[in-house]
Amino acid sequence: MANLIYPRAPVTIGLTVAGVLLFFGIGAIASLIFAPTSIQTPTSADQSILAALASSVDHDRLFYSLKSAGVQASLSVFFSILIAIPAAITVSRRSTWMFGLGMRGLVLLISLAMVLPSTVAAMGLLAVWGRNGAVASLCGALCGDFSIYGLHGVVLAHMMLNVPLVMRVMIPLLNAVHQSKWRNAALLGFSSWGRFQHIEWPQIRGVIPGLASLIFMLCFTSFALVLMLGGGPKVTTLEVEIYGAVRFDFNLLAAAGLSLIQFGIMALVVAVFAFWGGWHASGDIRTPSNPLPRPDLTATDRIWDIAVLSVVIVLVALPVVMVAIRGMNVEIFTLLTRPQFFDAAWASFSVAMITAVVVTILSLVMAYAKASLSLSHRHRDMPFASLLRVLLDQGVLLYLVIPSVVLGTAAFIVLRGLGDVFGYAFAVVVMANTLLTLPFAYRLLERRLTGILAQHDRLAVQLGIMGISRLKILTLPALRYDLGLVAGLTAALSIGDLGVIALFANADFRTLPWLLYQLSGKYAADEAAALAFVLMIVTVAFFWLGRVLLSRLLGGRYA
Amino acid sequence: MLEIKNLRFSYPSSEGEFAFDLTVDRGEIAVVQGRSGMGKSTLLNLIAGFLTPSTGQILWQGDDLTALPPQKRPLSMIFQDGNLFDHLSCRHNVALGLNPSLSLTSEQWQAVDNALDALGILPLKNRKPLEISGGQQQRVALARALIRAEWQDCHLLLFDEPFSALDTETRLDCIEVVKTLVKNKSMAALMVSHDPEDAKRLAAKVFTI
Repeated sequence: MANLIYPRAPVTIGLTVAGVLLFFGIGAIASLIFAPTSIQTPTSADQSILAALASSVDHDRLFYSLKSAGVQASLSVFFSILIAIPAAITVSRRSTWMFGLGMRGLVLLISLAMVLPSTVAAMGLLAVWGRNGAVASLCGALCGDFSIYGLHGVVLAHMMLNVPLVMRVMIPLLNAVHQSKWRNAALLGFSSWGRFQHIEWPQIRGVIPGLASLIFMLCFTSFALVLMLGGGPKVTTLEVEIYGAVRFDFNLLAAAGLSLIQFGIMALVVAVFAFWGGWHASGDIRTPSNPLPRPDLTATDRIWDIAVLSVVIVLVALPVVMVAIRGMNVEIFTLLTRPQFFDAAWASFSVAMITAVVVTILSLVMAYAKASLSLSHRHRDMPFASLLRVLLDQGVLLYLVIPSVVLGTAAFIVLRGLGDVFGYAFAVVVMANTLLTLPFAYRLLERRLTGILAQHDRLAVQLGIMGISRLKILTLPALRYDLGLVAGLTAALSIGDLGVIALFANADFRTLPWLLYQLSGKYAADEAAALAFVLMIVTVAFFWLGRVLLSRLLGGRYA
Repeated sequence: MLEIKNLRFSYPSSEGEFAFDLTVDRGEIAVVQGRSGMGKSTLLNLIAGFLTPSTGQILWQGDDLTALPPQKRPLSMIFQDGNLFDHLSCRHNVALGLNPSLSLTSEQWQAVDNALDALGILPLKNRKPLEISGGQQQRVALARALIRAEWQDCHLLLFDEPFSALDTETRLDCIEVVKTLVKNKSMAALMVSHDPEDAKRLAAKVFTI
């Protein structure tokens, strides 16, 4: 009877998917470990596997890369959080500024920066801070020979992408502070520091270790931004070194060795990340429609908030606006008539659409299986339920520790034996994007679906709403915003990704970010700016289509 | 004595205007009753300085408070919830009433402990708000009000439905604490409540709006 109420088939499918994912992940790592046996070189033939991998890597370069990536990632974490905390506080308490509409616009621009492809972010940053950028033209000779290329440029770009991420997590937390807390602060005469110490900091501090690890992980494995703004070999990451080993030196053994080191470091960071409780994906930043007055704010707070907002606008919003301004030039017509553009656009659209559909379905199936195994009243008799939950989690979360270029290198090594590697480019890019976005999608849906099922279970069973009817009437409509977010985010991230494509791009297969990277390197500044603008529009369109259309579609008549 | 004289206020989004006139003596408890939306909480917010009236006066012991910012008004306010800071111990939450930076002299710390003792919650002083019950949380808030009355001459107490979330037994217990506090410290208390029984239990003067 229990099985009729809570069918086991979806759980079995979810577990099978997780098993396949785990198999793929372990296979990818194994292919890197055993690379010396599959790639026979004159020097590796007589050595053990580990010795062959170790000798293939340039140790001086490796230590320099680790140091460079570590310093860059640490600085990015520090400054991103340092700016994001006051920014989140300001946005949360000034929702009525600029007639409310202005703040909503600013929040929209900040949200936009989060899904912006890193290549476009780099173009935006160049448009603001570059030699011919907005800041240079404003300050003229005062700026001297300032160059954005180098460590500071990479850190600035990482801040542009990560400050919104931190704000997105913190603003809902600050908005959730009970009004009586602010009133007590006013009555007790708290200073700005006292308010921060006793109200704001306790509210946000819990998410900081998790966010810091996440940003460190993203910046440590940064690829496109370091490639475009690093200023040559001076600033590098292991990802860039792996790319160089595959594309320029064609030293696959070195690439495999570096990939394994990268995997080990990521595993360590993720372990720390998990120890600190991870990070829960939050919903939208919603500005309250009728915000209550804040009696604790003073004139000094007002001046401070204006200063903070100005920094956020220059750092995050201005580059986004500049991409639009610079992109609307006559070269846009040249770009739109190029056959390469259409090929790249078609490839990017196909990758984004397929990835979004596959990720949404897989994450839903796996989240359902996890939720079913987590709720004590469902499948309580299923043997090894706790072990199966671990399988589900690890099948997906494994891909958090395998960065895209590492996954690409593994695919490159495996596919070498099957003929023309570049012939598999499309499939590899889709697969890599699927696997890399799945952890975020799964985490987001799993928690939400568990809550929904727990809430609906008893009433649904009592009313006899089961099977497909339940899915259609109750589950999908309740989950529609989250599924829309997953589809939109996956499509946006896939369309802008410059990871695996950097290893597999060729004359027959390229994507829009790859074309943008090529154009920016060819001093075709106007055309590159136009493409950055188009890519930004396309990314936003996909994000919006995924979010709005899917959530409306799933809402149907029942929501 | 608290005197509210021809106090008027209207929200920008609504056409209606609230008007208030009342007095509460020291050592006296007044309960404001009325249907939802009639302006009960608005009255407390005006007295606390969270809202600015269009006309009228708020007088305490003859001094005009109307133009003072909230932190300069000699009052304590207790809400239904959210009165305490969850990351601080009960002792620190009470100490905030003496100094927002928590730099207290040993004499002041002793006074904090005395206030906790007076409210019967001294054994809980090192616990965090989430580790104690709702009724105990309200007692901590009352201890803070008590210490503010003793050290900062904040003898006016405002209650915005402070006991709504409590069970009957705890509610009765808290009401007794308020009665004792107001009588012993010669405070004036103004309470918004939905429960008509509260006024009877508090032996309070009733204002219906």
